[in-house]
Amino acid sequence: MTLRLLPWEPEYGTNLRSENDEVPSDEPRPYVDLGCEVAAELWSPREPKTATGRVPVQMVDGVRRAEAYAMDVDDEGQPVFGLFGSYGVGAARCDAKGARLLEETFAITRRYLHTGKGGQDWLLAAGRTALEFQARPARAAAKPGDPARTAADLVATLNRSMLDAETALALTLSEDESAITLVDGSLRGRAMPENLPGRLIAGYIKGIQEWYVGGKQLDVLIQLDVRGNERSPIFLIDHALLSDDATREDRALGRDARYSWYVRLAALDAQFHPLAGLARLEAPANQPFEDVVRLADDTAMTLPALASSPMRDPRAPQNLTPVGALEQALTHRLGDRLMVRRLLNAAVGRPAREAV
Amino acid sequence: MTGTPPQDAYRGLVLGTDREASTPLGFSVFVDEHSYLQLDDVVHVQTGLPGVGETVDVYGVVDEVTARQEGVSLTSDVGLVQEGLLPARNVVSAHVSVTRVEPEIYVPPMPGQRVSLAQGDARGTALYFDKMKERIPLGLSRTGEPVFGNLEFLDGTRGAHVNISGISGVATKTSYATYLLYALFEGGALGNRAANSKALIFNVKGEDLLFLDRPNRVTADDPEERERYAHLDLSVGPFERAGFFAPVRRGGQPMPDTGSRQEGVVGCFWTLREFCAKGYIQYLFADAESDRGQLSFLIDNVDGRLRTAARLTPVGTSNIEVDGEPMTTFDELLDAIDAHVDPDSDLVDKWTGTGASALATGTARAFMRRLRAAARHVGHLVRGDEFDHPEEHRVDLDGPHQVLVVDLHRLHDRAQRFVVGVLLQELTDRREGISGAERPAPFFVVVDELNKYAPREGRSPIKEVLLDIAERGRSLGIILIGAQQTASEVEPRIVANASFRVVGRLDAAEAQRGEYRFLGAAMRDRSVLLKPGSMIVQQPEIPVPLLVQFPHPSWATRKQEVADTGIGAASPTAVLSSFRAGRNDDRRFED
Repeated sequence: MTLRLLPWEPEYGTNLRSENDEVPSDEPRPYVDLGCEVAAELWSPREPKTATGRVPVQMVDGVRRAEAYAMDVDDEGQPVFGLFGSYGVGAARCDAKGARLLEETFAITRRYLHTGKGGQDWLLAAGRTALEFQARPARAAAKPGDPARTAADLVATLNRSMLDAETALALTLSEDESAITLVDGSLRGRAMPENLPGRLIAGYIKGIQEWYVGGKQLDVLIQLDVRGNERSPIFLIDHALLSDDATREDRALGRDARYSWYVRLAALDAQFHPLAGLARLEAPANQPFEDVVRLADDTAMTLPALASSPMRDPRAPQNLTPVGALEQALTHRLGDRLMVRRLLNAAVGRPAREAV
Repeated sequence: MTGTPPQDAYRGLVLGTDREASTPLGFSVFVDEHSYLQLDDVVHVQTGLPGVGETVDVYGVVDEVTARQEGVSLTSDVGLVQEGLLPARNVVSAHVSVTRVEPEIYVPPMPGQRVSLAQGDARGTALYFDKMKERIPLGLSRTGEPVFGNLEFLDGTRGAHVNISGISGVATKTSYATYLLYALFEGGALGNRAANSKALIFNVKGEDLLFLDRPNRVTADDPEERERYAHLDLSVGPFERAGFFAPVRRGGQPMPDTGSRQEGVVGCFWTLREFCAKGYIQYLFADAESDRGQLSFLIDNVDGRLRTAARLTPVGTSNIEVDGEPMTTFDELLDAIDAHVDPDSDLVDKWTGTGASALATGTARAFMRRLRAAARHVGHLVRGDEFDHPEEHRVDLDGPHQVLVVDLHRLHDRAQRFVVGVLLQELTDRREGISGAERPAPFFVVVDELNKYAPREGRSPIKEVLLDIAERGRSLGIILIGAQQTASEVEPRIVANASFRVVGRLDAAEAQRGEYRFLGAAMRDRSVLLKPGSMIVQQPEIPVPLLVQFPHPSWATRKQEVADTGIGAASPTAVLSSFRAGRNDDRRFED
């Protein structure tokens, strides 16, 4: 194929980032079973057969922000890293009644994460309200059991708290079984209960880290046509398919088995790479396969309408229009960045001045 | 000071965004989605003074309402919202111009404070009605509540004069002026001065004002209109004491020169003696260009000679003697004047001197040319001894009539100027005597087409009289209700002296002129949309202009409306509905 552009604005990276291999390899991953729906050699674009039209969608998303890093000394005289961070989680819903932000689901949390033990909560008075940064010891990113050591660990902890909040909200919202509930990103590492019959929860991956499929299947992905609401066949990602050792380690990282499929969101113009108009979806593997097929068909029917336009969103078409609005609203709810920063300055500085 | 607003008056919250920040003189309201605010609504906010524990009541009037979609950034987003793809919210904000702050501590209402609709006493406070000792109903707000004006700024106590602007045919200037007179005379605000208060109206177009003394059956039969009068605390009826005057026709009978109404109309003229004694000759040169050196010198000169002639004429006659010769008609007088100013005549040195002060031939010719041109249209209004009882054929300013309508609509423009000038001078002469009296009963003068009588540029005798009234009228008890299509073409001092500035439908270009800056941007834009029967009124005490609607006249404005005729009348319902629709096709209102 000749040179083609990728549509995201460069400061957001690309939606075709590849961690493990710079270019897709011809062979599928060993922990992937391509033959769940159709045999790997029979892969072809699939039109949604079980779905007849758009279904209600609920989209859960979160935003987070590091407000300030800090340094402290604990009781034993050891230096302690700290991070003041905020995150907000909420959902938007599109159904026959229109699109709306589910403002009742919006929750803003503020944390003082640190590498020490205990720690002091910070209450920042801001007009008629107060911002409460609750102190929490952070966990190491590599081994969640261990205490955090680095600034990256602090950010990872903040991120994990947000993901947990998103998952919890998605589980609550998915009680409405008439709607698809999308969470942002892979289901990997999300604390999902064992069995959720009837729930239509899917992970929505806009930036594709890893293709999972082989070169032959990539050709099928390129052929997917948005006019037919086509999707790829469903495949299984399960690290238990690997050798025993690898499985144990992957299990330790929380890499649970899940079904996945690709949906074409938009027919991009000729200057863009045809793989750039795709999104990948995931569903927990512990459910009847026909439910997954239905979910995959529903997403294929529903998501292209929600794909954003490059005029609105720098991560078009993958960042769905309602999600863009949701992110904007949640970021707004985090409060003005400079304002929070100033409140922190004042709160941290005041006791010191009084001590002088 | 008017207590806490009731719960159901709640309309929204004070805004405090950068774009819609709150100030002591204006703020915006996030309008509650379960209610609404519209233009002209009167609102009330209570704001606390930190550290003092006192409450400040802020009142204002809504002058702009804006609906926006929150959560959209692109033009096409509205389509996405309608398709149910993009979550967004419709929000309405209203801008409020502050009218009053009690006590006078000018703090901005705090963002988040509750804004309520000002009703009852609160509305009265917001619009200063509580401060008006004597008030007249200026009309109804669009929500049907009366809007008052402070009489003290109208009757000369603290201010005087009304100026009305608007497009002819749509702005209903004369109708509003007539309504104001009705409200003044019939509304009781003038108290015991009402009996002696008078008004002089010049009817310059149509015959709309010639039926003021007859009830309007269209209005009387309409319960809705009657209710509007009731809200204004006015009775439904005609002007009780109206007198009608029209200059006499040419010819041998002192018959009024009017159209469909002859009965009860006094045909009036002026005598040669009056003409000479009072210097009315200057009103024959009443166009602005007459103030040109030699010519005006000559006019003054002739004026002086005629006054002398009047003094020397024996009493008991309407004629005038020039050099001992009796003049019995205006033409004879003209010939005598001609003989005295014609440089070729042997009489000329008697009046205009010889030698260095001698008149240039050109000037004398110009003078006579203008005089004769004017005389063609005016001559029949100045009579000698030909009619008996000249005192019965005059506009009797001291007579029993409260409203004196002078019908000029059949007169030539020059004759109109002459009559207006002469009557205004007569009025000011008469009122000089009462100067200094304690609150004289006001004499209202309605003059339309001010741009003709007192144009911005140039000088003319009528303009001098009008300026005199504008500047000294308060002490003379003469209140000028002036009207014009375009205030920008009228002598600024006359407009500036008016306490009440009223605007009907304006021409879009005219509305952008500096003369209308008092309207503010929002009202200026609205002034080009006003329908007949709607006016914007600015008065000294209220810092924002208010929109008022005045009721359909309860006096007849045409023969068909007269309650006791009923000949050939249009269906009353049809007439009224076209009035309500704001159409002007039946010339409901006269400008």
